[in-house]
Amino acid sequence: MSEPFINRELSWIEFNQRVLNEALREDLPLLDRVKFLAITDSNLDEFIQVRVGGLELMKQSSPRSTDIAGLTPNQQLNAIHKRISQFVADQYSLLNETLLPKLDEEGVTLLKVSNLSSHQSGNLRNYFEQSVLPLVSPFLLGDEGQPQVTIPHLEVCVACQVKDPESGETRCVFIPVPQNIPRRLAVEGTDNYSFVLSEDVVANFAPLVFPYEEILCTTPFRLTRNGDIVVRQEETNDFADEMEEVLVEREFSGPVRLQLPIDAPDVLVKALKSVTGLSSREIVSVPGPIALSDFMSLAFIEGFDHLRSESWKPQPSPDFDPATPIFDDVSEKDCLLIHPFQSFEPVVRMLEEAADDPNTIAIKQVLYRTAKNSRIIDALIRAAEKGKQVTVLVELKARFDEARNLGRADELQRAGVQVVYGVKGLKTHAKITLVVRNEDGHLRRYAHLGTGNYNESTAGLYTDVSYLTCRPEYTSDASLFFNAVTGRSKLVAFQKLVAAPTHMRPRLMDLIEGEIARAKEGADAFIMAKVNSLQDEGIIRALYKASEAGVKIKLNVRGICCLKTGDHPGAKNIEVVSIIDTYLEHPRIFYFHQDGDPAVFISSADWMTRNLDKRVELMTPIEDKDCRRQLIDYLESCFKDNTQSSKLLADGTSQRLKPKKGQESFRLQKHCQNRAEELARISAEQKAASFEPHLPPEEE
Amino acid sequence: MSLNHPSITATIHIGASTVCMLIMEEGSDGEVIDLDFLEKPLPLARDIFGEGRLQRSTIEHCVTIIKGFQQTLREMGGSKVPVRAVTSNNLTEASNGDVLINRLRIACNLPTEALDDGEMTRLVYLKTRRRLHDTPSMRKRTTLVAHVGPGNTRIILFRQGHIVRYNSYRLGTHRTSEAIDANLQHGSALLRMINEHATSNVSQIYYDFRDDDIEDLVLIGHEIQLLSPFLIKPDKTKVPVKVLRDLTREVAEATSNERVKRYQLDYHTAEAATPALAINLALAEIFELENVRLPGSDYERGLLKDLARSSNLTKEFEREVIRSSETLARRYEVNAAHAQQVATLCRQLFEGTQELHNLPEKDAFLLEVAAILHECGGFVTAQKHEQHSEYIIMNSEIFGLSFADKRLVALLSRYHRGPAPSPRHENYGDLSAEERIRVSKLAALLRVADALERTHSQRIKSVDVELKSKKAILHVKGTADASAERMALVGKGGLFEDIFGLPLSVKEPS
Repeated sequence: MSEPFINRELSWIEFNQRVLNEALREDLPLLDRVKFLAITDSNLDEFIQVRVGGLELMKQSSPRSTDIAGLTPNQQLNAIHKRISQFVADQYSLLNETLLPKLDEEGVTLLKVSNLSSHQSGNLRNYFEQSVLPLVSPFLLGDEGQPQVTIPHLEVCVACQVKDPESGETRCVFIPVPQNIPRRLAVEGTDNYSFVLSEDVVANFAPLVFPYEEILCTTPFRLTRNGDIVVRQEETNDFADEMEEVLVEREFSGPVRLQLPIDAPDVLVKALKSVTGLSSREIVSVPGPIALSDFMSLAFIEGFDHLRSESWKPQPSPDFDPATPIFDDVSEKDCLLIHPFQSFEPVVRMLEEAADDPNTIAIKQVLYRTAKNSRIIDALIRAAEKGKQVTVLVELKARFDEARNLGRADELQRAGVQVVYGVKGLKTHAKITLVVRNEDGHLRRYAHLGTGNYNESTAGLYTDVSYLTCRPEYTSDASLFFNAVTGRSKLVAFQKLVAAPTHMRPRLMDLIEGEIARAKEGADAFIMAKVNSLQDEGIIRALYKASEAGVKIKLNVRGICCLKTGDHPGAKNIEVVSIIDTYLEHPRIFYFHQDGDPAVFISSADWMTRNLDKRVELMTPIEDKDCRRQLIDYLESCFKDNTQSSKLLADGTSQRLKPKKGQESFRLQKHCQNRAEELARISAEQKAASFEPHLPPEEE
Repeated sequence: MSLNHPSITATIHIGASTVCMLIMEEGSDGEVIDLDFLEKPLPLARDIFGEGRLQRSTIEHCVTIIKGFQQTLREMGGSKVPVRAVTSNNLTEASNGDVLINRLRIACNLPTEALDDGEMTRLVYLKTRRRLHDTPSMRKRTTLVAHVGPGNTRIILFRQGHIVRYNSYRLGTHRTSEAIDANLQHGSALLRMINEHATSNVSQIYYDFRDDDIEDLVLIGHEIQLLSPFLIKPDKTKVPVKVLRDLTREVAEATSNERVKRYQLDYHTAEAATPALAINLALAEIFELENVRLPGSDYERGLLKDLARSSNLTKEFEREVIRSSETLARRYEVNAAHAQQVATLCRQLFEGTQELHNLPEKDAFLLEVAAILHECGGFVTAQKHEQHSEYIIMNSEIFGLSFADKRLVALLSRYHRGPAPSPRHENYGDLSAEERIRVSKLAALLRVADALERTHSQRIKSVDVELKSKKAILHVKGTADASAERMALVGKGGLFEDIFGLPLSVKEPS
């Protein structure tokens, strides 16, 4: 009997397939489809470098170890390559047969430099000579056995075969396309928006780089690297996870994939293959432009709004009055925000007001991924400069954001902020802020607990939940949490918050066991969860057990889902859906029915082993009646979607849900936007209808 | 704009295996609210019981921890937060314990005092009193409270909610762990070694309390309370001994890493976990109990909270100390009526001469204890019984008294008669000049009270002191002819006259 689990990597590819399915939708605006296609390619880049790279190493070190689905590393790699090969074929078929022709019809045209008029070509040549040539540095592509040149990671390059006319000798070289020129170069002198790709320009004008030689042939290519890693083998099952963590820390590492056009000249393919040492399986030949992830910017070109869906504006929450200090609002009642439908602004304001507020004594925050020009960091710096005690944990290991985080950490430190660079051995992933104020001679603390990063940019692109409170039992826990992550105390037991890696797993297990016990007693037992990924074997087995005991389980999983649905006994009461829409679904919400008195949590943690065992995470119970109702309503809505939602099938693939006959269509994100707009409108109307005068302060 | 500063206080306990700080704020209604609790492991007990001295690295680690705590205090709004910092009473067993205290003073500007045994007992009492308060049935039963600490075990016997007897034994979790190299053993071998090490003390405890018909055993201590989630359900206190036995075996079987992970302990506490469980289990078994009681709360946090309020004696606590003294007095067949009457007169004399001695209220209480015990030496022999009294008191457990308190009581008893205090006398000679004056002042009052009870018949019911510029007049009530007392004062009033510079006269009611 096969194990009742889906392989993690194949499940991830199915998630990417769901994103590609959006690009395939004919009912979506054209540039939205281009955006989804670009996302799939960007996702794939990350997957290849961290997951495939990890498996390659695992194949060497523990070839017989198996994952929870019972597959060895080699079996996984074979399945991955086979599936990705199909996936890439689907991407290019969509691009070549549908998207590029339709874009052309709409006046957005990809041209080849060789097809341009002499005038257009002359303009490009001028551009090349002035702006590109000074930046170009060709490198020799050595033969096998020669020292390997450092071909840049995930950058488009142009390989050329060059002939010395005097000696008749040929050699292969490559030119990295300079990073500071755009991938898309507009071609002037056409009625429409026409563009060529930068690698095409470099290839065409390569003779200018080698003025005394002959260019015999060229091809663009792109190399993906993984890691040159010292393997930690204590837990072979989690090895790929280990690899993922390590790989992202390495700048230069061994190659895992070479992308080339399908018509690349053999001599150059051979040279690249020889230099990189990659096998045929790892060389991906595509029938079109490489690096489709760069097409993301095409989705946002100016002047083609009719080819995009209408953008939604984040709405102000009725809980916050822009004229009232944020702390006054939070001291009156707990506030729950669902972003980005409801603006992230109150969270930023909380930091900004704290920085300028004479009553604020201290600010503490965990930063994981920050925005480029982060107002939050500006506020922290300002607060420290004003003499407040500011403590910030900056997680340097946040994937691909290390450099930015490090730069800002220095800046914070110079301003007098006490900076802690994460917790040794664990990645700090919790989303938490604490502000300590002196209010009339008494300390009062305010906490923000969330599911998303303190990043104003992604807060506008990801859906997330924020909870703001000054309940002492929550803020006291928040304070204990900061004492622990700053190394001043061990992690002591909390009253309300639940922290990983110490308490979250046992607590989740207890909550699931609680539902099982209720089901066995004949009571209604019900679990709902919304996560980005469900991969942890312990949690999945507990869910199977719960399902067998009669607990109804609804899961909303955006990405990886190793839980296998279908007919096996453990899955009979489990339903898994996944939503892909305009915003990236990002909140983690857990609901346990508890006989009608539900325990509902928001969390920074996915149900993945790495989150539960190797990261510092938080799970926050939402006990305030109004906030809890609001959160449950939202979570229930996540299972009503029948336009952007897919049902996960027993083989790990998914099937898009459609409104049943007579059923109205329901789109979660549109529903949330409408709801946020309605609440904002009602609040604005109420304010307009009742005048509240500013009164002078009462005499004491 | 001026801000009212929050009224925050903090207590720090540098314990056997952890350093903890509790930050509290007094709310507007006077209620004390816990703001923050910090805890960091520190292998103090390992150094003390393993090496007999603190390693430099341990001292510096402690400094780093305290600096972190002080940063947290700054984040609570001020650098002038009143902090009471104490170290484990086991620190006195380290040959260089004072180095830690000096280092904290220099590096952190933090005055730190070693928690003495008396205050430790007081803290255990406070904790137990809460437990008795929470569990009404226990107030009616005979309850033994065992605090198995890192170096010593304290046993307190409660009957009808009051302390009947108290004893301390040299048996502790870390003391045992270091003595048997517990980290090198596991399983049944480990349990056997712990039991062999503990058996003489456990037997002594049984011997001391075997006739008291123990109905309840309350277990308190850092390790056992940390393990309480594995022994009791939330909001419950009763643990079947079988459950305690099973956990003891389970913990003994586990490796050090497993203990840390499974029971959420730090490594230093994990080392002491098996001895803690095994000693507590041995106590439960030797008294043949089926259940024991265990507080579900955190030991350290409770201790820190009590530290904030335990430096001042409460009336209730004073009564328990007096009861403990009376029990000791009975054991040495002291004439209780005489002792009580001397105590009453001492109190009246203390109040009447306040402007002469200027001593704090606590000294009146210690004088009262001395009055109760001053004649216990007569049990040995009447001759020079004051010296026997001193010896007996110095070598007895009196619940709630620190070493310094007990020494004061012993010296007062010694000087209730016979030669005046002299620096040649062993315990007196060890005192500072201020302490010697304190002893002399109080001894002078005790001698006067004892003279007024010369007849051992309690005929002087009360005394009022009238202070004049050149003499002190004792207005006595209860007899028309105080010739005997006047005579007694000739011999016993000399110290008063020497110390306070005033001759004494006795005046009967007219």
